Amino acid sequence: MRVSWKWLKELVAIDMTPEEGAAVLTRAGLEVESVEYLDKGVENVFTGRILTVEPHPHADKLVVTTVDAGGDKPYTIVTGAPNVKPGQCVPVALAGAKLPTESHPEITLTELRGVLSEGMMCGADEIGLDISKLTPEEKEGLYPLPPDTAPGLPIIAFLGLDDVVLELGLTPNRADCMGMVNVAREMSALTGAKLTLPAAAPSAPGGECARLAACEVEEGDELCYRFGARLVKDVKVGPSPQWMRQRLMAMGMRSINNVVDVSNLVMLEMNRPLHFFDFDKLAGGGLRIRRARPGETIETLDGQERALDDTMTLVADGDGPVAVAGVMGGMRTEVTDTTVNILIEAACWNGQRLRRASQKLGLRSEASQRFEKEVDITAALEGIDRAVELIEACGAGEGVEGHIDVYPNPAALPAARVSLEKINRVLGIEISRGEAAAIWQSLQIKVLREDEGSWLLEAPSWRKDLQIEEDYMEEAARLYGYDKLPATMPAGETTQGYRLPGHQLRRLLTRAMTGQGYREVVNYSFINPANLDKLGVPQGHPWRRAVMLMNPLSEEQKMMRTTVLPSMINRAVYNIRQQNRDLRLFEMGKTYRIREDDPHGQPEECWTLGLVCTGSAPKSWLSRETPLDFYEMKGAVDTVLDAAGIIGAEYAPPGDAGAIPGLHPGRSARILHGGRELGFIGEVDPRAAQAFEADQRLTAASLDILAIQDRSADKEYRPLGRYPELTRDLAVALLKDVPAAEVESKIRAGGGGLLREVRLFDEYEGEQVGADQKSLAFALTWRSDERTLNDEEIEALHQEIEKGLADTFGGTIRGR
Amino acid sequence: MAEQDKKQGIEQIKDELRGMREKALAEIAGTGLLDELMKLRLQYIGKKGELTRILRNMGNLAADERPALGQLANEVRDRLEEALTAAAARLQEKAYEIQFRQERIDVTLPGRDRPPGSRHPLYQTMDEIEDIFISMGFGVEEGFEIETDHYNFEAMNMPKNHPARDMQDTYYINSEILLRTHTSPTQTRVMEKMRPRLPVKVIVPGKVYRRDDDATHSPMFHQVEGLMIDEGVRFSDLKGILLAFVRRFFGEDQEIRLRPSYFPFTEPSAEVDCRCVMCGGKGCRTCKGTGWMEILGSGMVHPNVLRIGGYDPGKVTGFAFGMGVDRLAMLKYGVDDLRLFFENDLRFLKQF
Repeated sequence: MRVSWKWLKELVAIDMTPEEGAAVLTRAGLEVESVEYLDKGVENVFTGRILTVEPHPHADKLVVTTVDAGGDKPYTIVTGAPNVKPGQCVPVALAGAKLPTESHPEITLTELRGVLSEGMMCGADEIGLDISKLTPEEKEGLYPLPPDTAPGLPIIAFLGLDDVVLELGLTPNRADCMGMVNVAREMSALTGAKLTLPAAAPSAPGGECARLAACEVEEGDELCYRFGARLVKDVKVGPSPQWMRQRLMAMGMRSINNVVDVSNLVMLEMNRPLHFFDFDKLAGGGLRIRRARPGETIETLDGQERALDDTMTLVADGDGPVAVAGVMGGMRTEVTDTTVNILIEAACWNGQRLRRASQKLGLRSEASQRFEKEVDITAALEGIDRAVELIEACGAGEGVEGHIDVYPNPAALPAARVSLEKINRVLGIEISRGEAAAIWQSLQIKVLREDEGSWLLEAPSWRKDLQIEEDYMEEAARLYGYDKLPATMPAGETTQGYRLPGHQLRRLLTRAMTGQGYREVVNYSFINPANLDKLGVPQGHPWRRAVMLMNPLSEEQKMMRTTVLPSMINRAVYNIRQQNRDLRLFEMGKTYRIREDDPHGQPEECWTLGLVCTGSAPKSWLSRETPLDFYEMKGAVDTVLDAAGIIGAEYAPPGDAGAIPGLHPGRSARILHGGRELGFIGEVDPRAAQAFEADQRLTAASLDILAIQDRSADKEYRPLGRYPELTRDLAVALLKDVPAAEVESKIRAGGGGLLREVRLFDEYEGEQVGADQKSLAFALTWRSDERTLNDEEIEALHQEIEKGLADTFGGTIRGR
Repeated sequence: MAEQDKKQGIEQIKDELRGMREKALAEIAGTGLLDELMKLRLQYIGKKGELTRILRNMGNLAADERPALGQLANEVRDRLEEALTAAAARLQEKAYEIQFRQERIDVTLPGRDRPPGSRHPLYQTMDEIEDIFISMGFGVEEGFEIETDHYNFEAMNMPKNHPARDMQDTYYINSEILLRTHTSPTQTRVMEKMRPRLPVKVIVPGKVYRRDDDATHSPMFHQVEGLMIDEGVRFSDLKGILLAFVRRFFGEDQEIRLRPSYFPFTEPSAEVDCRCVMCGGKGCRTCKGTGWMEILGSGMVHPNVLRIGGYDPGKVTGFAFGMGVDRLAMLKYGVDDLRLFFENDLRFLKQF
């Protein structure tokens, strides 16, 4: 909502700068988003009338004019503007003028091809007008002033640009401030300044008007709370007076003609939208307010034929619809230059219905926005009377005596009981009874009854937001000043802060990930379902059973992700494109699953840890370049699981349980612990990598946080061994396809309780073993809790293990 | 004659001792190796050394002369011991000097690579917010991202067709299920979980979604909801808690400003500004010259919301607030483009 400072000062006697006013309003909850000086710094520009136009002696494209701009003698001005004619009235910038344009910020006496030009005639943008609100004639070439404009008037004052506009960002509860009068009331309450509001002479019900026009409302409040109307006769449509044009321009609206301008002005002034019908074009039989019937159409004022349905409310005459209630009028009854009699409608429509209708028609006007929030019902006729007063003042017509008023259920203003003790207790302030009473009075809140310590209060008709005690509490706080509210700490017992166990675990895992050199990313929870095709997820796979958004902005936001794989791959690919080729990334986020038992209910949200790595750790002077591959990520996963107290997770090739979509079948594994699947890890399938346009190998993993939480063991102390450890190496050559984990578990089984640790430290394939063979070397750590072990018994145990390896895998022990 | 001889004898031995001392001292001083020092020790003051040898002649001396000679011998031994010890220390020192010289490394060479990981700036900010509120006795609860219309709107005092629903462009799953547009539905969730216990004193961080995607809006962003309900919770307590938070988060010299505002689920409601962190309150582009920056919305829990949550608004009061983590992170780190948080460019992530 734009607020003209000049207009506001006419309504309320404030004595402050616009900036001070903006601060007052902002602090009271009417946020001023900007303060705009309409003069744009323009100086020394005047109204002028072109007297003569002669060709320029030395230039074809220039003319030499003389212009009366109010001085003792005409000014000689050379211009290149087209269509310059004697008698035109235009803005004239004289020497020393300042303009808000970059091309001519300052005007000086200039010789143009041998002729001295004493100024410049200006276009709209050169005097700082907002050209987006102007017609082509107004914004192209010189800005046309009315034909009878007196020369020599400062242009800023003449156009009403000696004004400042405050742009209010209104909250939905304060739609009343879409009218200047209510902004003025607010300002008066906040500053104590005196109000001077327009008050037109009220018309009486019935009379000549009711004899000529009639209206009937179907369904009552369902469609329309109140329908008021008045007649204006002897209408003379013409240009508006300058003050009205200025006012509308400052408020961001264009002047059309005196009749339309009056309608807009009353809307801006009183937050009271009106509609004007050409009374003589209305078919007989009076007006009827009713639902639109399916199949009905109307040609609206914008020239469009619109299909209607029964969610829309109509104003109809005997021949059919004449307006979509509160949204837009019809072409058939439009007021034109030839209109003689006007019927002015001031209705109060059901806001919810109107909102749906305007959404459906895609029509949202200044009027419909106001009706949606529901305007002051009690002031409907005041609005018409004010319009008639203004029309008469413009000489644009004459009000007909009397009015129509269909108002079957006069609205009762809500009343609330408000306790001073509660105000002070809940706000944490101490205001006296007198101070509170003064606040009610300043806001024109009526005290219906005053009891000891409380009031029965009635809100003014324009303040629909005041309903319950808490609403009045806010008013008290607002007028007391939120600034003055003390800052206190809650009384009562000390409480303990906490995080939930799942949250604690996620933090622990996150810290472990960053400790492993992984960087955290944030991905959107929704993905493009095409990502599943890129991964090669088969039809019927659980990842395909996804929660879909009904109204995504694009395909990219259509599906709530069932897996973090695409998000992680896309994140890596994005970075690779930015030339960040060596990556370790993780995300702690959710995946979403449809609940089998309630497919249309709230889905399941599963915390998931996603990982991706690619590229390599660069070589250094101490180490060779090492790939960020499967084993890099597996090491990170093991460390992270260790942090959660999960030791010895198994990595099972996907063979038995089926492939993991998107991952290399020979380089992927399910991660298991105690029979529970914790997640999976693997190199991205080259086909998927290609589909995601990754030009380097990627490894990804996904861990289910709930499973980790379930398997996570509390850490527990075990006594440190008092007897020394013995470490012996063992190397075995066996067939290449024997998994190392199986060899290790065989060793453990053979070693028994004394074997404390088995660490694989070498894997070798090559000349020293058979072509189909590999050698695995383990370091075995032995210790007893009861005694010092001797070499002989360890030797015996090693032989036992070796025999077992030979029997099971046909392995030959190396170095024997 | 014998007397004379003896006289001569003692002087001679004394001279011999002195002579040996000078010679030994000279040799010790001239030695550059620890091994040689050991040899000199044996040579002069060892059991079979010079000193012993010289003193062997003492047998010829009169008994009364022996103490004087003995004293001299002891002095010589002590002197040599002292010189040997000092020389040994000197040589040891020298040996270390050589070792240090030989073992010198280029300390300016880089250390062994450790890949640094990092927390995302949004979650660093979230952690910090949580820590501050935990220190003030708030518990950290969790909520659903995919919510029901009931919790997201109805329970928040926004029945169907409430105009305030328009303020929040909503992603729907179906007519009843949606992506939460704010963390506020957790207010009711938490109340249902905790009732009838008092006080309720929690924050709930999480992701929220709005159908808006441009330079300054992300369709997914992050909020932290705050809720405190107890007997006698005041509007001024809200101000106190938020002031404490802002000072911990942005600095002890911070101030806050409450402005009346409107949320359907709080009454009275307040928008909270803090001093612009870019200009310190002088006024700049970030704060549009006002010196203040809007950081969160808040208010006293609406009686309808309390009632739906199972608390009696006649007995208890509460405050609630909701802050945008993304915005706070932008202000905290001076990030000027929201999209950077969601692009996750490594060069960006490395800065945190």
